[in-house]
Amino acid sequence: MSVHPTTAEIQTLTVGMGEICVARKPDLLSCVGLGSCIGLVLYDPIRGWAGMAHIMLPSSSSRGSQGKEKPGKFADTAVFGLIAELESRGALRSFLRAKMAGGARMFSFSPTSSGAIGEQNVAATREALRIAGIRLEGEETGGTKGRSIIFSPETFLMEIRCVGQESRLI
Amino acid sequence: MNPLQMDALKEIANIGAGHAATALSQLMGKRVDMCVPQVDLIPLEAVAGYFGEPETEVWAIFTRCESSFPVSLVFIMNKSDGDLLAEKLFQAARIQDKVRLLPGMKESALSESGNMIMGAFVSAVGDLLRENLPLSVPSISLDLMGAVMDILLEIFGGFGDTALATETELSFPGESRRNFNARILLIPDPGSLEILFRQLGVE
Repeated sequence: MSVHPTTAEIQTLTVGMGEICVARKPDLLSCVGLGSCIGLVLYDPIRGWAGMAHIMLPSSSSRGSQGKEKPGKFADTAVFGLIAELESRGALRSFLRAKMAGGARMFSFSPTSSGAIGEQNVAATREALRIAGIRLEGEETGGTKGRSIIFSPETFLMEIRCVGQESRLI
Repeated sequence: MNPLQMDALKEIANIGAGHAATALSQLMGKRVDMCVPQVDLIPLEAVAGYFGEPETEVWAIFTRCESSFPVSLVFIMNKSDGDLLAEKLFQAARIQDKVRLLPGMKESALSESGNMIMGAFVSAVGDLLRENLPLSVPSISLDLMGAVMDILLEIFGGFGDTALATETELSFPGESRRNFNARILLIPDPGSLEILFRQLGVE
């Protein structure tokens, strides 16, 4: 199963931790080995642009200027970082939609008292999307399995792969 | 951290790895070698790829020590190496290949051996601190390396931008088939190192 309908020369951009990448067809966007991290995609289905952020932590507050320097790293700054990147390429904000995957809890207990970071990442990303007024079209979050994701800016589908499971499309 | 503290940490990891190698060797009934542990400060953005390809499938056993020296430990093996270790353990326990194993047996065997090895590691630190350091029940997962390493975000994400980890590799010399490698990450909670350094007089 593949998210992509054609076999033309395709480049897959792998989005590293804390990064933001933007692409359009026929290229693909991917995040590899998401545990508690989130792979968030914003896309403009009319103009055909998509951006992916590899979010690591829920909040940039108490991090000084880091949220500005590396917006993809935090849930609260990644949404607006993605919007800015996409708008600069010609996407229209009012067309933007979102899909996300990740936020797992890899081990059955958490070393910190504040609760699992994966769950915090999911909640913070949802909240940031709500504030920005962007509709979440699909998500697969939580659970105990790590995920790798690939998104096609042509079909606007996200393929999710987990170890020992069939891949899924959202 | 000053060089003296770095050395102290290395030495602790060294003693721990020695104990762990002995434990593993007794478990398997063969010689086990270990390399001199490394102490590394890892930028959070680099944790996923720290051990190589984030998409590699690994067995990971996680445990915590809640004590005056709070620390997390992760024992990581490539999938095929973990499978091999489980196989050898079943052989040692005279469980034949033909017998169909109950689901979860492999996980159970691996998490027990992980716990034993990490227990040996931590008790070496405990000897140094003259304290009993009990471990929590282990938690096991077969997953992507990158996802497993996110545990470092969980521990350090709220505190800073680097994770501290000591790492060692265990291997079986003379294993004709191929090299077997296992890694142990010792991840002290932020602030817990100071306690250790005070005890050792390297403040």
